[in-house]
Amino acid sequence: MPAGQAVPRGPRTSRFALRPDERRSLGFILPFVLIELALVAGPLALGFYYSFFKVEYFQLTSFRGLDNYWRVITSPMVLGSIGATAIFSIVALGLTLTVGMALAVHLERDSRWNVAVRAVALVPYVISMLVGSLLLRWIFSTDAGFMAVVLGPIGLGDHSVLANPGSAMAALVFNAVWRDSAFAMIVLLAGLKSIPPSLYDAARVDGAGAFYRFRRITLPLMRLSILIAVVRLLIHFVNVLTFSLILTGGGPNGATRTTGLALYELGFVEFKLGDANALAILVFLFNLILVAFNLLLFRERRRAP
Amino acid sequence: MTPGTRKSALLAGTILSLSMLAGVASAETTVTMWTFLDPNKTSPREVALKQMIADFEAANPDIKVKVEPQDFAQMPTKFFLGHQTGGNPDIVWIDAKNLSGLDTSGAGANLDELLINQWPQEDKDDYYAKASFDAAMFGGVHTALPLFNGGSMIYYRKDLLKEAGIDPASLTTWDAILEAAKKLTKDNDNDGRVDVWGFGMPLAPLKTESSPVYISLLEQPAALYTGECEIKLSSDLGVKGITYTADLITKHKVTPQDALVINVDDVTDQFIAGRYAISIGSMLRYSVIKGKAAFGADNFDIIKWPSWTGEKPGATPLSGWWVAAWKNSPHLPEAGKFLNYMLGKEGVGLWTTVGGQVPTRKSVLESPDFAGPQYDWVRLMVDAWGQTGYMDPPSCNTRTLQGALNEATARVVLDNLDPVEALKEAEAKFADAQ
Repeated sequence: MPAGQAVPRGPRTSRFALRPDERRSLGFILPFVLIELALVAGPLALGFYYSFFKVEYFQLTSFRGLDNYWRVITSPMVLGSIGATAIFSIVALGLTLTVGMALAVHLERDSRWNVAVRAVALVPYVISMLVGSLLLRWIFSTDAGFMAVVLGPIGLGDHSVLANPGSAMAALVFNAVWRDSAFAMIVLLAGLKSIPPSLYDAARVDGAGAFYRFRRITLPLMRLSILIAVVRLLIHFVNVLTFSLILTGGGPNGATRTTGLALYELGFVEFKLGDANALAILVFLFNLILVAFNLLLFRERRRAP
Repeated sequence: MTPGTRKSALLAGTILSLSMLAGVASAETTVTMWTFLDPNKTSPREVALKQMIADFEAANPDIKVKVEPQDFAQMPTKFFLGHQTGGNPDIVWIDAKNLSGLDTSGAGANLDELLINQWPQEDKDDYYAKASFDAAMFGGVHTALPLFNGGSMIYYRKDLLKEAGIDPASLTTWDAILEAAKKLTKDNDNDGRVDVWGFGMPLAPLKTESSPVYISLLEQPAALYTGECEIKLSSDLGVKGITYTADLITKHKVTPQDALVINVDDVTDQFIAGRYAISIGSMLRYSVIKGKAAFGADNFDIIKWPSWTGEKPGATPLSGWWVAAWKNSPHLPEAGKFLNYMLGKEGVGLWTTVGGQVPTRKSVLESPDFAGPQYDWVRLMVDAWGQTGYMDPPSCNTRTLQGALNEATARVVLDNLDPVEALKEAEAKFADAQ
């Protein structure tokens, strides 16, 4: 069959019967659907079931109904973690996008230098999250790190970055920006490269400056790439555990205890698996909203000319 | 088929059958074990474990022991979950805070039937810490036995104390510790930054170790639990302890504020690096510190916990690691054999001489091998447990107690919260965890 020619679909014999091409497609998809069902839907259903019980060491000891959900949404620890997650996610998102956009715009041209810098920018993203956070933990330590060297000249040599709620949250945000700006850069770079250069040329002929071109051409045409990066990063920041677990352990004063860490503590420190599953289901529902938003964006992109 | 080929086929078949029979005759059973140690590594306990396995396998050629190293924080959880899914090892190590899980999950094998009932009475009496021996006894059945007795303790640098004219034997009260810490906190290069802190504490909410607040509360352990798993932290001793701990950071500045996010691993690393003159630490890390100390392997020692009056030492928490067998193990008898070896006098001897641990058996402790001054710290620990040993009730969820106390301390340090209020918050967290 010549390339580009449509595959013949064949007749549909009844309403539920599959055409040959649909059967072939199903054959490709089915194994992955089954894997997804086994690894995602199964545990999810089990977690949902557990969320109605008091669970001790994986034993269902008594039925609690919605009580676990009530305990979770009224728990000071969980409420505090929602606040910390909101602050962390919003600030980290804004800064990660800004740095990612700056990198993407600056490194758009495929010169050797830019390709090399892009590779370097990707290093924090490709190394293990745990290793990266451990590295930053030591950098921020007053005794062992060189933050004291940086802060010393301005009279803050003894300031403990990780032991103060404000600066600990800043360190957490720094960890996220340091690691995930590269991801934002990749997504935004893809959007940037899809803009026809002729538009910039025409704008230049019309006397438009760099800022004007960025505001009137780059930003509007990258709208979808930016939104996709926003949703993906937001899902990541809302759920991430490693940054707070390794960098601060949720301290000081619970200032950096994110929802992911609260979930971890409920489940694997306190072993309150009923409560932990109730919280997990609530976080999952929030994620569903974000995923639905992401799907809508993709649909919009398909419709775009 | 020609007669020649028939003969060859017969011969080949006979050889094959014989080799299969030989294979069956020499079939090995592999006993798997989950521990946080990796026998391929070189820390003292790992070397001891490697030697123990080699010795056991030499004595029992039909049993192989396979170690699957695990993250120590996740290991008990995985084991309790594995009981449901059927993916458990034959043997697992369990920490003090998770012993009750063996009963609740039903995963722990009956060690009385497997081992203890075969022991002579003197073997049972050989465990000097009865609380530790019976810690995992539920419904009259032992589900785990102590492998290492552990606990927190106070480490100090010999050279720095000598230089400051401080006799370690005088550090029997919290006030004496404070005065010593003041003398020992130093900015050696006059750059305005402290180089050696007087007193190190791990006060992070996770991966905790005993703090002065907790030890202070244990001066009256009977008053700590007011009912079954109900706790009273906002007592006079609690307030005294939390105020003292916070003041070490804010008022006396002998402990860095970083302590609020430093966990038990960090505090050990910092002590090894020479950043603390005196420091709280886990006794189980003694051999690690000895192997890595930047200031010399013989240049540190331990003291008993201080108390407010100094009349007797502060409470000595008893924790450590226990070992259990999986109830549904297909190799329970073989697992029992290895447990017997690991917990026997030979095994305990190796844990102590090579692994640098405090022996769990009296006979090992009293043997001539342990008469030398290098084991003074072992005798000191055993003596402390004998005087003021304390073990959290295994039936209560005490996993978050120290974390809650550390968060209460952070509330006092950072928010200037009233100590009573901070401790009441910790009480509420403890109650919520039950």
